[in-house]
Amino acid sequence: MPLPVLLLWGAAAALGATGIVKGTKAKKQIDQAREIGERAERRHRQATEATDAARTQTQETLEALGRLKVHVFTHHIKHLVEALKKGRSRLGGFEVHLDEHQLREYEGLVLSSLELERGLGSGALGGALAAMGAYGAVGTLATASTGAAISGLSGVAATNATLAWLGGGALSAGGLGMTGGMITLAGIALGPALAIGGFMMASKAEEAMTEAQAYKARVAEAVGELEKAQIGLAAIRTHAAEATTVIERLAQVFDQIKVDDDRDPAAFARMVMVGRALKEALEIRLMGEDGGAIDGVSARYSGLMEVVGSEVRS
Amino acid sequence: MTSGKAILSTLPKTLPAVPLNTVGSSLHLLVTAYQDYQRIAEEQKTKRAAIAAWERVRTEELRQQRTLLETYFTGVFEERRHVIEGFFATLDRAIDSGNDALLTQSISGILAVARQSPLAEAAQLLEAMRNPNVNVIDV
Repeated sequence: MPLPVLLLWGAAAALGATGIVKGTKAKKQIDQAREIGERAERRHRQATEATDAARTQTQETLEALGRLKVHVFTHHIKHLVEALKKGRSRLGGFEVHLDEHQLREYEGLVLSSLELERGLGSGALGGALAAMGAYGAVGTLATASTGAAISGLSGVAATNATLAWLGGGALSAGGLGMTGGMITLAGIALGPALAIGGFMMASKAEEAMTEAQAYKARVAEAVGELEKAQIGLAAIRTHAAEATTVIERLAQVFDQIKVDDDRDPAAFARMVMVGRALKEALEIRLMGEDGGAIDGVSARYSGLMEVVGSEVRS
Repeated sequence: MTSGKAILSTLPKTLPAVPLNTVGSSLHLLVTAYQDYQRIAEEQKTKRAAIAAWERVRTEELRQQRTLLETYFTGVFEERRHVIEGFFATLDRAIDSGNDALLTQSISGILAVARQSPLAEAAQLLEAMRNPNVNVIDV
């Protein structure tokens, strides 16, 4: 047999053996790539579930704050309005006073809150309560006093993307393109010869590994953003707890010093002063109504929500 | 039983007419597949190195932001709690003593703190973090 032919056969055999070995290793590499993808997917799902839990908790905290605001309106502010109406003629003589316009405004807000309170049992006002907790109570109640049906108040929440997000459905764990389980042997066809097929498989395995690493990196970023959002949501809850304390303490002070009429002008003036402060505390805003960058919580209707700089895909 | 010589005698004495071409084209296919694999493996390795570097940088960036936010929120809410408690203590004293001026001051103080938004300030902090011209962020 001529020497060149033997050499060629030898080289082909050696390279062919390498191809077969590569093909065997490729299978292992693809399995590794799939494992990387699936691990990343599990990590993303866990982070999404944790964010969802934080979101639900935040919504409940805001609703509780909203409920407290309604209660204060229907009891403390109502008492203030009734006492002011009794002493209306002499209001101007006090250091702290309210003019007729303000008194009418207070009265309207109390009436709206009473109506809202009556609807609380229906359970359909969660959105409105969260809106009251999140922004000033006055804005929400003013919507009602302009003729909007109380049942439509939940719509106030829906117009704010942040609140809509908080009260919306569960986050989707998808949204990152491919998922870990999608890394398969699909598309890999064995070549005409096992050796050539081995090299092709090895090439595909390299690409699959890169794809898995890219997916893992995207998940790492998404998880980082979700964890940041959780910190933002926790801050909203802490702020809500602080607002709750302020309102409750001022309400206690109001109860302590309240009088029914203006027979004691100094005591009456003191009650008006604390009552006004209480009403201002009811207007503490935890976020902006427009869902914009106000108060660090912004949102967009595109499905992306931002809580203190974290983008969360809903 | 067939002897070894007999077997050898059955083998062709000469190679087929086009063996060299056949071997050559097979080898060519193998070499091409091998070269493609080498090129792809190298490209993918470079891509993975870039992805890993990006992931490290981005993960670290997000970790720093989270640390900053946690430190900031823990500190700011604690400070606000102390200040608000202080004002409420003053408010209680004002009521007990009938001091209306002190009552006004303490109420103003409580509302001033309550109106400030720590979340807005946190957003500014993150903005400062992204600004390459800001070298120091005080928390």
